[in-house]
Amino acid sequence: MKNTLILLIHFEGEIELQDQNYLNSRYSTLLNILNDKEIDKEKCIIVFDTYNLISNPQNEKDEYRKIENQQLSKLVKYACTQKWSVYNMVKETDMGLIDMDIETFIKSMKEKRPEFKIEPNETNIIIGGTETAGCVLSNKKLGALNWSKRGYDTSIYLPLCAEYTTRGNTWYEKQQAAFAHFWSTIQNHDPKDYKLLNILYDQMQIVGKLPFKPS
Amino acid sequence: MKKKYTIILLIDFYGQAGLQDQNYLNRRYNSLLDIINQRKIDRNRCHIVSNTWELEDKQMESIEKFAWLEKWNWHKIWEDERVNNGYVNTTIEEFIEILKKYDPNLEITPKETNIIIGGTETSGCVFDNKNIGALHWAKRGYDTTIYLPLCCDYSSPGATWELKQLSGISSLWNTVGREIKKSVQNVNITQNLHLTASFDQLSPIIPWSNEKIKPL
Repeated sequence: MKNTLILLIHFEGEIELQDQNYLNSRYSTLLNILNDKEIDKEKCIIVFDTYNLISNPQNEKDEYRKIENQQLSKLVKYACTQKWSVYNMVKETDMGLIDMDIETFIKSMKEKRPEFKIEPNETNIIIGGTETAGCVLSNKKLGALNWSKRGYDTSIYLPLCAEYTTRGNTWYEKQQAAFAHFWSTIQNHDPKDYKLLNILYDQMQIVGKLPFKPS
Repeated sequence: MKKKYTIILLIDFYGQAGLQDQNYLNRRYNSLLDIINQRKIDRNRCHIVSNTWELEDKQMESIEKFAWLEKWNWHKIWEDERVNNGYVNTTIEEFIEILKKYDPNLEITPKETNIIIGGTETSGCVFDNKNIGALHWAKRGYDTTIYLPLCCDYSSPGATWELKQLSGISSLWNTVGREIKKSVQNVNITQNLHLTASFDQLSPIIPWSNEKIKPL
């Protein structure tokens, strides 16, 4: 059974620019994954590329207390109580300002969690964050297309994603524009680059990408 | 360079109107109206085709009348027994044959024709469920565009219209993935197939004329 890396790229995004219902829905989606007690937590980890820190994070001992956003902080705290391993790359990405590549990411993860293998044959990648057709797909070197190019089974899980800078007068229109943008990006790549890229919508669909405890 | 023909193909455009969010339904009609309103589109080279027609759809009837005033060629192929108002799953070859009856001069070949598709539902009939869906045109080498503002998804799962749209997108991508894995011959479907969300993006594939038409 493969292990799974749930990678959250700019998960918070620009909170104030987002429809708050969808923001909540993204958090709930993450919570739904965290709540699944059948997932093998030894084989599934969550990594944030960045999140906003409070002004003096060095004074705080617990990781979740360092997170500025209260909702996200609570989510991370909850994850830890449920024995999830949650990591962040806040320092390595300088709060998201450094565009970390996959090799550097894997190296950093080896230091944080040496026993967790990140290899195409060993690891499924599930990605969420902001924005689907931007950083989540390919604007960031950690974007889904770059994992799929390297031979990883990669899934963008849409309920974890959002668009806010994409043009559109409603959230529905923004989604449409984002998908058109996604498609035009894909067109510039060889099909073998996105052969392993999945776009998933339903929790039942990600079940196949997650490691479950033996029954 | 010779301008290509463009077929604006409306597949099950009305759909199950009662099941659709009425705001989005209106938006789809407005998006169609926005195309019809363009008087500089070359009417001889850009044709509208519908595979279905609903008598109770008064809004569409008005749009069609407006299109007639604006000198559009709107072909009513739903009357043909090989279409039977969408109940027959017409093939592209049959479609071309039928269309030739309306306009024998219309050249429908990958080299000569762009296809723009709208209707219901994006990831269903518009994409591949119908034999005249976008995927099938793209596979045959036609430059094919799904114009998303003309489309909607109502039977896709989702508690809101935004979520229905997301599941539609996911389903469409799954089909693309399957097609790519199925055959190396299909590797170009993503090259021939475009998804656009605004009229600006659609504009380059429309045959424009230097002169505006004079409406009736």
